[in-house]
Amino acid sequence: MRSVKHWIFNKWTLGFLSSLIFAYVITNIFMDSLDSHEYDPKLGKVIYTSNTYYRIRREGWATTYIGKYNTIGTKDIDKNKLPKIAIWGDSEVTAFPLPDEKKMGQQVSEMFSRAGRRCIGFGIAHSDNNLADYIVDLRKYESLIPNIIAHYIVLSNLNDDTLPLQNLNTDRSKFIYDGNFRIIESDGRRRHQKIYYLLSKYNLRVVSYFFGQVSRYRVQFPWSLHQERAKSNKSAESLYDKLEAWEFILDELRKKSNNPITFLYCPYRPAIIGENVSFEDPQREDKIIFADFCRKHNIGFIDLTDRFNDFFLKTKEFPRGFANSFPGRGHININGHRIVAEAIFLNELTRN
Amino acid sequence: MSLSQFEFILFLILVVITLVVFKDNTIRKSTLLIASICFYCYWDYRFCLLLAIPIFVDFYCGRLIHSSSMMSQRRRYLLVSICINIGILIAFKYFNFFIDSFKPLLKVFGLNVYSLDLILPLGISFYTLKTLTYTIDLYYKKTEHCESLLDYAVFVTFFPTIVAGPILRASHFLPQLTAFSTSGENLRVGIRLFVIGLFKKLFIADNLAFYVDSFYASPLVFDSTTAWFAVISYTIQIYFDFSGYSDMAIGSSRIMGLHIEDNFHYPYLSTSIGEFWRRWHISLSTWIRDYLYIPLGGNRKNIKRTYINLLISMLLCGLWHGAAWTFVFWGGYHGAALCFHRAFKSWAKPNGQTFVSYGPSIAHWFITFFVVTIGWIFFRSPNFSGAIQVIGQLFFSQSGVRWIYPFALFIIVSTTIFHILKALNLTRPLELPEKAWYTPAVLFCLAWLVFLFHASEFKPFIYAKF
Repeated sequence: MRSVKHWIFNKWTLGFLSSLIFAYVITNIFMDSLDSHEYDPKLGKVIYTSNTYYRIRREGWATTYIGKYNTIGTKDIDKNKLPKIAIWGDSEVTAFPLPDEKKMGQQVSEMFSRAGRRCIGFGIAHSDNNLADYIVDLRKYESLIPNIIAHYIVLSNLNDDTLPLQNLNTDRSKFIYDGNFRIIESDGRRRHQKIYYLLSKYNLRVVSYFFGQVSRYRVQFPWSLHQERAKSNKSAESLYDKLEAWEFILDELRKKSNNPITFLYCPYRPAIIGENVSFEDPQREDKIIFADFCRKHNIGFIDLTDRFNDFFLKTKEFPRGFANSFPGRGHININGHRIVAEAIFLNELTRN
Repeated sequence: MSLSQFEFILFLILVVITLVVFKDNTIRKSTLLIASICFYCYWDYRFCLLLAIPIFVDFYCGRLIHSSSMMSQRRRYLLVSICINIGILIAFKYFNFFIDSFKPLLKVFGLNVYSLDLILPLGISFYTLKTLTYTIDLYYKKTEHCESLLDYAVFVTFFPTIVAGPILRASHFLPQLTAFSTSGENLRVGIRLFVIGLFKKLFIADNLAFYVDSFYASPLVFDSTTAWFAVISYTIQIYFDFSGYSDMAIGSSRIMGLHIEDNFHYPYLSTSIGEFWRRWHISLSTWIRDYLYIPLGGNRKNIKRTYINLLISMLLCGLWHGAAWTFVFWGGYHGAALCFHRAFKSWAKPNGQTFVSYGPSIAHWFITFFVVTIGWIFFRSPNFSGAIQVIGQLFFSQSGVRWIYPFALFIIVSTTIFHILKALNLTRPLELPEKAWYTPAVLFCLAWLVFLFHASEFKPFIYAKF
């Protein structure tokens, strides 16, 4: 009897231990890897750890090489003397769900190469980046990476990316309004950064996931079920004049570089809305005003709405979304990156 | 509280500890009753009173039926029980449905009746059928009279099954309450079933729900390949969702030392519609057979009457599922399929073979699966026009967005392989036998899969809304 109990005890204990190995393996195949960060003294901020790989499974199925200074899919960008086109952005430009060769920067390089021109494109990006980050970093990057001839900034959400008091809970630089418009530089430090670095180094995604889930979980008692009344959320936009905000931030941006700067507007359209595919961009009016401000400040503005819509009408494929996400929603996909790359390539040809 | 929520696991642990600590049977039963009331109150305490009505009515009707010797009296008490139970069900579940359906007709007669803002009480369809088994069985003297109100209240409110079954039979459940206890074996068997159910629900069904819900929200946007994938995905989703719930309910009951019979037995391996209903939601299909189809005459009368009985039973089965014409149609569709199958089965061939013995069984399986899958479209669609749109996308190839969701593809392929192996009787190791050395390890692995890959959005059980 005792030996039977002993055997059962062992069976369950061994079962649990072997399941830990299973969990370790499965998370390293089917889950996004941990993004580790390090402090870069030259940029004066915390960035993705250089020369690491980031794996994504949530939307697409790809692995991205992260080079120096948050450059995406490119090795030793600072040692390359060729003329360069810097593409700035947030997770649209990190494009983790896409393999490196399909990202917009690499596609731009390939287009130039096929055209017999010596020029390379590369992405500088971090998730949650916004216009304040580009303004803070533009000059630093021009001194760190030689021969940048043009800057392109990928924009999707005009409000989030260009207006004050947005995304204040992120670790990125901030555009704020407290009676005056100001840009506050962030050094990007994150909580538990060293622990994350170690977990990332040893591929212990399962550990971070476990503690993340446990710490976020709130047991719902019957008396806590009734949701708290939504706190009054005074629209941040009502505190300031949107046009004045754009005037300020575009002026700041223009002052940071003598090179051409161009916005690439990638709308969230076409998209499935209700029972149909919608082509109407809800940011249309703001976009027109913003484009006028850009022109006034000698900043380019390329609107990709028509190209995105035309692409869908021709192919029935969306420029956004991946197999693992709802079609047309989420990040720009391989089609969208090609459209963006073509727009950059054609714009550069025209400009030169 | 859903059985798939972490809160339920905490709640179950607490109940089991109490059952282990107290050896007295009355205290244990009281614990179960209190736990069941708390479980129900977690959803909405106001409906506890409604739940008390069938408990008292059926218990005392049962007592009167038992003590009466005259048939007419017994019948009267049975009718009281049926009318009150069905009356409550109609009032809360079908009142608005009938009002909305017959509003134009009522207007002709000058009646302006408005629908009411009613909340559907949790599990009302399930506990109504459950309580009826007691009084009907007592009337036909198929079960023993329950002496204790406490026992009867535990039977009606028993928390693992109150939301979505399995529909317990008084004759099976009540005798167990005289002596039930937690034990090491019950705990192991129960945990095994609970984890398998959790895996079916949270890993498979909920992750498929994202794809299925997205498709059914805008079917006209997608092409026919996507439509087929989504329709088959729903066929799989509803199976894993409901059989997952049943496994969890049976598993948690077993942990507490109470046995509940299986509710599913590989329904998608069926080679006829009749067989499908013997394998799908067994507690409901046997209820309909025993308390509806057979009392209507079953197949004991002429063939025409048998078809009518089948159709009536299945139409009511459809209506039981939901207060909408799509459910009624779904029931009627299955009733018609059962009639067709019976007609073909009895169509004798000259050499003595019947129609159904012709052809390979795979063809029979395919036809059955096809019929069931098409039926689910009406079950899932919010209305008839939605269902027609989906069918249009399936059969009339149209250009549209193609979206093959990798997880759905993986589940469809692996479910198919598993069913093929089951048909070949090769799944014994995969079914995690209780005594197998690897079962604990696989159960832990399934638990990890649930923890790591559960859907971000909470999805209630599909059958919980009935």
